Amino acid sequence: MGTSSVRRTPHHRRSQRGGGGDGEENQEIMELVFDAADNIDRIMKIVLPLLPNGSAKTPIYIVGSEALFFAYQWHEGGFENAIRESGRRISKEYFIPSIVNWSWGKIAERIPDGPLSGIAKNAYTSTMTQLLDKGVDALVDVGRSEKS
Amino acid sequence: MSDAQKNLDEFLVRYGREGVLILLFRSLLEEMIKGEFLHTRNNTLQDSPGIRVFQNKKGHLASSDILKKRETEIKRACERKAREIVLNLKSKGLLSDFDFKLISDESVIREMNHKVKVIFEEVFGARWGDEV
Repeated sequence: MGTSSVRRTPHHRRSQRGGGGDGEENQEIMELVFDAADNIDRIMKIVLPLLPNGSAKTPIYIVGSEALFFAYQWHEGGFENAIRESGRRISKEYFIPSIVNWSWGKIAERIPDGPLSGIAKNAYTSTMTQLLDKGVDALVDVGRSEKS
Repeated sequence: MSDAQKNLDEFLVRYGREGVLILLFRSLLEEMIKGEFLHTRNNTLQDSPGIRVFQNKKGHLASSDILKKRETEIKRACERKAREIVLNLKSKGLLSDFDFKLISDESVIREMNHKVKVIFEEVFGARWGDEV
């Protein structure tokens, strides 16, 4: 009897950690509560005051406008014709990254140099790649994404 | 290419301009957050909120599975904030100002820069560029 109670203690402890015998990683998840929203709020309170002011903010507005223009131009007019006209021969495998980089090249000359330029470029290429690659699945916060 | 066309068409029909801007602002926030994460990781600031993303219970680098799971949580949380930003833009009647035809107008750019800044400050409760 005494022996079985000794064995029960570690089993109980493992259950509290969400164990099920899945090892240390499961314990890590349970023991370090990670609140992404809270972390983002706290990090942005650090990041925002460090961001440059004035015209350095321009890339955000320009990439927003350009992303919408590019997406709707393609949506409404089709892109095959534009590709044929420019003589581009792009394999299917590289089509999306190639076309996103190509479109960024057209935008880049209007983006002023500065700390936000790199962020804007990554955000633009990420946005357009996900839009073209994943379609409606690009937005992950399911249930809140319906167009109002 | 037909897949890309289909994906684009479906997305725009379902989510419209708002969806594109949510995706863009989510990506911007992820870039800003990642920048801070890298900064804290390189400087091992133990009391920084960014460092917790990488840590396990012992204060060591968390496993790749945990980091991947957290990345998804961060993406979801960034999307919620991005939606808040876009709804704020919409409520102020600014969505239509994200227009290719307007981006060569310096006065429009200055005005939009200021309005976007104010919305970020409202959403995150901090001053933009306060320490620059």
